[in-house]
Amino acid sequence: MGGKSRKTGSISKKLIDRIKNSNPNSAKKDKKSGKNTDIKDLPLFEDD
Amino acid sequence: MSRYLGELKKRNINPNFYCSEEYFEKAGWIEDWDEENVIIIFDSSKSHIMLPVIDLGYIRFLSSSFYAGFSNLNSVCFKEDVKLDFLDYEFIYDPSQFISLSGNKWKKVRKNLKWCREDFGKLDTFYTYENYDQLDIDNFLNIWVNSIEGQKLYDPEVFLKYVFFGKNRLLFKNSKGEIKGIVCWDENWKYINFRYCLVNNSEGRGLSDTCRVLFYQYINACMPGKLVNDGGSLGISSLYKYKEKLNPIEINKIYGGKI
Repeated sequence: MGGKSRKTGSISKKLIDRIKNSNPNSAKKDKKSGKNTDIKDLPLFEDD
Repeated sequence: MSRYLGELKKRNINPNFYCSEEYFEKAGWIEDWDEENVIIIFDSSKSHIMLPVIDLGYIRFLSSSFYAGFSNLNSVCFKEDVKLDFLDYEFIYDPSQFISLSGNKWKKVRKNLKWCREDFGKLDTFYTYENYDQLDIDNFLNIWVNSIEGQKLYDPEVFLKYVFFGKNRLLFKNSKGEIKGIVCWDENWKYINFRYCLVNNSEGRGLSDTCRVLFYQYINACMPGKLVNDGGSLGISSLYKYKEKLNPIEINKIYGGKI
C-alpha cells in the first residue's frame, strides 16, 4: 500500500474538508468516466 | 519531465517509489539546483533532502544525507563514505503474470477471487477522470475512514489528494453501480507506482485481491510491458507476506543515507 514517510496521522473530517476544498482541478468539469472495455471478465476458478 | 527524474533516467538509475512528478507535486517536494548544477529534492519545509543529490557534471553522487535511495545503488556509488540505513522493501510486479493465474502459487488469490464473486457478484472496472464520480467517491471514502477507526496512516494529506484528485484512478463497481474498491497510481519512465488500494474488507471476502488483480489486468491491457512498483511493507510482517503472496518478480531493498 505504499512507502514509509516521516509523517503519520489519522484522517479527520476537518482534514478531508480542507483537502477537498483545495481541489486543483475545480475548473475542469467536462470530462466523463467510462467503463474500460479492454478488460476481460475475471475467469471463475471452479477447480479450487 | 522533471529535471531530477530526467537525470535519473539518463544514468539508468532505478527510480524508487517516490519518483513521479505527481508524487513530487502532491507531497510538496521541491526540485532545486545550485550554482554547481546540483539537483536536490527537498520536502516542503526545505529542511530535509528526500532523494540523493545528483551532480550534473559527473556520474556520481555528492555526499549528503537523504531519506530514500534507489534499488540499484549501494555505498560504492557514493564519492564519500556514506552510512546507509535500511528504509523499506520495494515490491516489483509484472502485470502480465496476473492474467492466467494458474498454478499453485496463485491458489490463494484464486480462492479470494471466487469468494469476492460470491459476495459481491461481478465487479466492473472504470477509469475515472478529475471531478467525475466525486460524490460516490466521497461517500465511499467516508465509509472507509469509519472502518479504519482513527488508525494512523503515512502521509494522510498526500493519500487524500490521490483519492480526490489523482490523475489515475480505477473504480471497481458492482452491478448496482456501487463502488467496492478504488485504486490510485502514478508513473515514471520505468514503473507504474501502485499508490493506494481502498476496500472495505468488512463488507465481504476477497475484495483486496480482486481489486489488485483487476488493476494489474487493466495495466497489462493498456500499458503492456510496464512493470509495477508496489512500494514497501512499512515494517509490517503481515503486509510483507501479503505482497509476497502476489508473486513479485523482484523484492528490492531501499536505504536512506548520511555521512
